Amino acid sequence: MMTVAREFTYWRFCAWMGPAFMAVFIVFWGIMGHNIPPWNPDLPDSIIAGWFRSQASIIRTGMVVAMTCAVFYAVWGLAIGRVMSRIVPRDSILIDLQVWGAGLTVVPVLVSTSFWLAGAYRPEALPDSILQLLYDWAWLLIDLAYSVTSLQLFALGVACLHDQRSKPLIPKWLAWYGIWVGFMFIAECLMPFFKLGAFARDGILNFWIEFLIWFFWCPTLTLYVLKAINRIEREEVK
Amino acid sequence: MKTASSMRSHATLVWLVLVFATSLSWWLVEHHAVPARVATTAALAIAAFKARLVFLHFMELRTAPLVWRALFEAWALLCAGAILAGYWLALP
Amino acid sequence: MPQAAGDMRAGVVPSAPPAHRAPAALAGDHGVWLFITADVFAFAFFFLLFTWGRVGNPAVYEQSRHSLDAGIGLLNTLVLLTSSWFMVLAVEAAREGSRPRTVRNLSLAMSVGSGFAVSKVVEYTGKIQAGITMLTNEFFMYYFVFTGIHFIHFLIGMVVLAVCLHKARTQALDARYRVWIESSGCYWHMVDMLWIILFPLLYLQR
Repeated sequence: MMTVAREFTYWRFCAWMGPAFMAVFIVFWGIMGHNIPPWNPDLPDSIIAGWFRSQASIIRTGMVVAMTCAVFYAVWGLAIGRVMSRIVPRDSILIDLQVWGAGLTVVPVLVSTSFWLAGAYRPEALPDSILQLLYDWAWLLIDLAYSVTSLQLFALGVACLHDQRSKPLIPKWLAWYGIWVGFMFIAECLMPFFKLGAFARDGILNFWIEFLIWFFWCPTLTLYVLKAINRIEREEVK
Repeated sequence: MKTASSMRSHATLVWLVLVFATSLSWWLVEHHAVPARVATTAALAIAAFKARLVFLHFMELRTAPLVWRALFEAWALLCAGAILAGYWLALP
Repeated sequence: MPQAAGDMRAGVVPSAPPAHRAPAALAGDHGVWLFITADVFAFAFFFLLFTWGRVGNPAVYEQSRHSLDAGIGLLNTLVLLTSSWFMVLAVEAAREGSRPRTVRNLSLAMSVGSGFAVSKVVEYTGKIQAGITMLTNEFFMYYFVFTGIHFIHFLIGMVVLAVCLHKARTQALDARYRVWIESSGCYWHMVDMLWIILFPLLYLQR
């Protein structure tokens, strides 16, 4: 069954949604949402409340764009799934697992950004403790939803390890790296127990390292996905 | 070319050295035979030495491309060095 | 002849025992080595974190260390070293094409290794019953988290060994299997090696 040439253009567009997601995430969620790094959990609620009240417009703007673009991650996952269909059989459950993993990753992003948005909507009417709760809740969700992304990483990794080509579509080292990242995310389980130190939500492990190792994976994988699409197109469109 | 049994006795020898080194480091620290700082320093140095035995002989980095061996040698040095530096820094 | 996925060793003749690796080759699959390397450097970072914490609060760390039983730590180390030894013997047996010896050594590696699990459970239970948890202080936070993460690595390793054992019993000890058992061996030695550093880091810094 041959894929029409136009399809590959769509595939490429979807693959670019990965870096697009990242860029939006960094600017609108990260910088405007004061999430790089997040507020230290040990701070008094007055600090968080003060931030919501004084920065409400910026937070609203940031979250509106972040929420709109959250779906990009799912779109990206579908492009990856298409490349996977040329590595493993087209009805392989691994493709579904990866696509679902990417799709479900949209959920914590969408929902948690809505909490920050809610805090910025009428902060002057809410007590400090409620504003702190909204901020805390958003982070608990984003961090502890890690396993939906780990699912994506594991499924993709396992599939790519099956590539029998002499030059695999996705390099094996990247597959292994993704599997390693998927395991590393498990450390987020410690996050709810600590308000200070390496395992807190702003800690060197549970924020900086966890996010950085994922931030390396996303554009690197996109690069290889785009290269793979080119190769597949050359192979299939004659 | 190594015979099968000489390979086995090589692994066994390495294991014996590891067991001895481990016991020595534990004994030095736990039995107050030498001053604490000497014992601890020795234990950490011995640990790096043991790690090297494992990655060189058990993980066979001795016969692997140099870059991998260099990476792990650097790792052992980094770990032992940093831990020791911190230990000495923290001494009263 | 198509190479088995992940078989990066050129020049291996599958049917001639004992099989030796080509010169200057990694034992096992390169991808597994990437995983191993990433993991050991992650743990190096954990060691640095602990060291940083200890420099900031040596008295608390030393006082907390007294609650640890270095004897159990020693036992854990010896158990993992011995398990690793059997693993090396298993890999050698596989290279020589000897199924009974491969199976025996893998079984020994697993049964000795399981002693680590028993010891850990005893140790953790003792601590928790004494009211010591990862929330007690910074030392115990690192103690439980780092030995806990190590323990998860150990458990995964035991599963990997079990798979190796099953394959040794039921499949040909061909080049493909040799890559498998070598890779598994390297992962298992990594588990051993990490504990070699964890033991003095946590138990022996007086």
